[in-house]
Amino acid sequence: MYSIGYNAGLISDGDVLSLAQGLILKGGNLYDSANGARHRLSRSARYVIVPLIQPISWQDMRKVLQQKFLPTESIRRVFNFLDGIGGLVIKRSWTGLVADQYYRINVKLHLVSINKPAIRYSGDIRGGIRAITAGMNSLVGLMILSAFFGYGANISLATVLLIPPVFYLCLLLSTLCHEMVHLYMVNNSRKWGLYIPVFLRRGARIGVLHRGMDEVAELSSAFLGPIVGVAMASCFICLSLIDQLWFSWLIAVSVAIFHLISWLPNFSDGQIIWQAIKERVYATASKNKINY
Amino acid sequence: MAVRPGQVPLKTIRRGDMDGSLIMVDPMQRYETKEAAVIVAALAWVIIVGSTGIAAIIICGWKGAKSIELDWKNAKATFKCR
Repeated sequence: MYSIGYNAGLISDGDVLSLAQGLILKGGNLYDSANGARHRLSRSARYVIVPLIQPISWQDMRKVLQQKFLPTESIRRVFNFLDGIGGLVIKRSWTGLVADQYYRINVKLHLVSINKPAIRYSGDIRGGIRAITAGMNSLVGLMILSAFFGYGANISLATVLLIPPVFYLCLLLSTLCHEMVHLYMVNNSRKWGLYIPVFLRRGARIGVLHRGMDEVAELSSAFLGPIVGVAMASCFICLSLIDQLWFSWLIAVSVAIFHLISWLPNFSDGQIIWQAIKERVYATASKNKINY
Repeated sequence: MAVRPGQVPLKTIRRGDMDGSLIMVDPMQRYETKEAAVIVAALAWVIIVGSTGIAAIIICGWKGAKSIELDWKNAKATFKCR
C-alpha cells in the first residue's frame, strides 16, 4: 500500500489509475475542456501524467515512475494537483478500497481533516443522477438506521419503513432539478468556444465545474437553482394526503430548507449572491457619498 | 508515507497553490464549483434525528419514547418513555 497524495489516499497494486474525462495532455500543457484551463507542466510532472492517458495499474505505474527516478514528494504533489482539479480516476480493487477506508478512518481518529477524492461525471442528466446517487451513498445507511431508531421516538413501523424511500426520492429529484438548473444556465450562457461542463463530486458535496459566466447569468443561476429545488421538494407535500405517507410534508419542508441552505455564504450559490449584494451596497454607498 | 497532523487539505486549486517549478496552474480559471449544499445538510439532519432516536432507546429501553421535548434555550431534552 502506498500513499499517493493527501486526498487521493492509499493505493494498492491492483488499483487502476487514469486521467479524468475532459483532460487533454498536449505538448507541455494539460488542457481542461470543462473550463478551458491550461496548466503548464514541468518535465517531471509530465513523466507522472503521460502514463495516465491510458488506464494503468498502480503496479505498472510504479515501474514506469521508478525508471524515471522521480522523487516521491514530486509524484505526490502531482497527484495532489490532479485531485484538486478532479483529474484523477482511481478504480480500486476490494482490498484497495478496504485499505483506503481504514487509512481514512485512522487519519480522522488522529483529528486530521481529510477530504474525499474529487470525481468527475459527464455534464448531462445521466452524469447528474450518477453524481447525486453516489453522493447519497453515505446517507443511505444512516437514513435506514435513523428511521429504524425512529421507532424510539414513537413512530409506527409502517411509517418507519416508508420514510427512507420517500426521503431518498425527494432528495434525489430535488437535487437533480437544482443542479440541472445550474447546468442549463451554463450551457445557455457559453460565450467562448466549446467547453463541456462536468459534475464534480467530493464526498457528499456536488457541484458543476464550468467556464466563468457573465455576472447576470451567474447570479440568476445561484438564485434559481435552490428555488427550483424547493419547488420540486414542495411537490412531495401532495403525498401527505395518503394516510401512510402523512410524514411527506415534513420531508418536503426539510428538503426545501436544505436547498435554501445553499444561499448561506459558506456555499458557492450563497457566495455569489452575498458578493453581489456587497458590491451593490458598496456601489450605492459610494454614489451617495459623491452626491452628498 | 503517513499524513502529518496539521497538513491543510487541498480543497480547491487557487492561484499560487502549486509550486511553479513542477506545475503552473492556469491562474485565469477557477476550480470552485457551483455547489449544492443539499446532501451535506441532509446528512447532518439524519445524524441529528438518528442520534435522538438512539438516545431515546438508550434512556427508555427498546420500547422507546412516547415523546421527546427539546428545550434549545437551556440545552435540555426531556424523554417521556412509553
